[in-house]
Amino acid sequence: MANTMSATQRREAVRLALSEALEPEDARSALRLWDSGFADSPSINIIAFVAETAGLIDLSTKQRHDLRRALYHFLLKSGTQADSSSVSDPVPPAAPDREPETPAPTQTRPSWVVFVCMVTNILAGVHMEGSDAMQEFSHSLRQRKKKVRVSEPLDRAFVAWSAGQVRIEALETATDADLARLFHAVYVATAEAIGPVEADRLLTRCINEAESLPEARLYPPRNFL
Amino acid sequence: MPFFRHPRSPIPFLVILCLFVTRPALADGGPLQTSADISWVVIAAALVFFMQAGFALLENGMARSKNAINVIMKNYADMSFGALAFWLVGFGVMFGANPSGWLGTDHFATGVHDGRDAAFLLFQIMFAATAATIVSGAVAERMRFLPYVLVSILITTLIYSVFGSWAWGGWFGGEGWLARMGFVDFAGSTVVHSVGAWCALAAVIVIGPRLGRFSSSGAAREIPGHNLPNVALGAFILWLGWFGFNAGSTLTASPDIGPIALNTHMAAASAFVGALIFQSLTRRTTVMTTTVNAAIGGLVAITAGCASIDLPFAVLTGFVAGILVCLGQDLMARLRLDDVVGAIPVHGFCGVWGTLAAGLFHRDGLFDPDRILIQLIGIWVCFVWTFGISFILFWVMDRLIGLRADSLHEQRGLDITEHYEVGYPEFHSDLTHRGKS
Repeated sequence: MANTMSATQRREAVRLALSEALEPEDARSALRLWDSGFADSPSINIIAFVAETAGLIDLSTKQRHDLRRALYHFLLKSGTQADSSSVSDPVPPAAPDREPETPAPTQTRPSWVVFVCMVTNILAGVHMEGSDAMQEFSHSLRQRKKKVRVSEPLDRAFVAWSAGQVRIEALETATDADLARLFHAVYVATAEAIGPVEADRLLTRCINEAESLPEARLYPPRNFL
Repeated sequence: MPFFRHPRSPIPFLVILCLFVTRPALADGGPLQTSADISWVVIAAALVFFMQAGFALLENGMARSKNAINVIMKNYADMSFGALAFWLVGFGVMFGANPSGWLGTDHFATGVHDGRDAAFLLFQIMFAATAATIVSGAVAERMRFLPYVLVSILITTLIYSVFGSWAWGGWFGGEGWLARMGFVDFAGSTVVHSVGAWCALAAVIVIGPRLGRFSSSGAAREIPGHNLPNVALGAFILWLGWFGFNAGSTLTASPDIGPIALNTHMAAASAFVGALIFQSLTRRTTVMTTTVNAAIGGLVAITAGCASIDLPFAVLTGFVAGILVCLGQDLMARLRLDDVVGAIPVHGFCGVWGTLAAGLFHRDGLFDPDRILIQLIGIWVCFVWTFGISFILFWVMDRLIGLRADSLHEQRGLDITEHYEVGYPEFHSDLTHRGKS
């Protein structure tokens, strides 16, 4: 989840999330972990951070769930307040200094939050499979664009995003139906990159993750399926 | 009877068709003379019917849970549409009077007037459905249902029946040209199984592999079936049904049934053992699905020669078939052909081997070069006709109506997208679709 937030803003968002989800002592330990291993990274890999935190302070499944939800919540909130854009992908194809092609809306839609959460987690999952998988994913996504039936500007934005030229916010103007189409393209690319069995497992995990978001009550992740 | 009176109702047309093309009864003479013959053939037909349950379980188990219903629906469609289509057209093409040796010319939508006719027609309907259903396993998880039904009808009315008329035709007069040459295929290693397999090969090429089955470098990714006990049970049922398939093909309740059934059983057992030994010697993992498939490969292989070769050669035929299944599955993966259940190695490669073995080990003359040549001609003709015509037909159908399911449907699973049902509704964690809401 790399974005336009400053490192200080990101740290503050993470601190708030840790404070909400964990006991004070555990939150301090986790924040030290953040400072030592994640703060300098250009991307925010929530899954990896939660996994390492869980290993450090022995979190239950429910606690991990709560922590992930809190991190999403505070990072999205912080990002939106900072520059009217919320989040982007953890394995960013984006050029860091480039602005999104399309203006981001001032208020984050639940469907968008859920979409970003799911895509973010899928990208993280593909990334964990290695660089070959990531290359294949990007290649497949670029191939797939020809079959995604969305408006011309959105298509251009999708092409640019899949080529790593803009961040995911470029897609934020998409309607919910368009987001579903884009999400399917991401799923197909994932299946091509890591195989359909792993893709289905990853998809199921991502749905479970996204269902823990408060926004999921307003826009269930399964609407994208 | 509003449907009957509707100006576009097809029923009056079908009735008129039956009146014009029906012949009164099967020709006199030949098998199916006694009540015992008829009883045996009807029981055998029921056993062959039960093979559909075996195919359904095996194919369903090899598919992922999100496609379980779709696979079974295709098996049912093969049996149901196949039965009607074969009765209307295929039976006449295959068994009607065949003076030229190339095509049957009567007994379309035949009327049945006695038990003898009925038993023979019933038995042949089961065979036609078996040929068609081989395709469903190969194309599982990505072929649309309605185009599949059309494919099934084409196989039973045209592809299977035409080749069948060459090898087995002439029941009502005349003789198929391959049969006249002396082509030996007692119960259908080639006529039924290879035909089904080559149709499956064409379909697999036309519709392509499942999403992500092969990486861009060409490496095959395993897509495990969702219920391997179903696979094993399905194979047992197929094994049981094969006694009807092979021994029923005598069309007489005669002592010949004994050695045929014995050959059938021993070839399957030998194929299982052959596959196990091969996997062990080549240091492969002993995979249940492959080994069970090998047993079915043994059954396919012995089908051609079960009535004409002696027991030791039946065992040898099965043993080789077991190894062929293992090698064939590797070959399919290397060629990037996505055959979900391994239908092409099992029914195609083993069908070829079994038909050749029927010539090699014929008890009237071992390794007779003339007979071997005739067998090779039959095998080759079957491939050229079946693969050629089915590839053309499927390619055209794909362009016109689309055989391949949409990728979104592949993601969601064909159970929900084609049939609006899920096989295992209580396992929500595996859902990849939005449900029925």
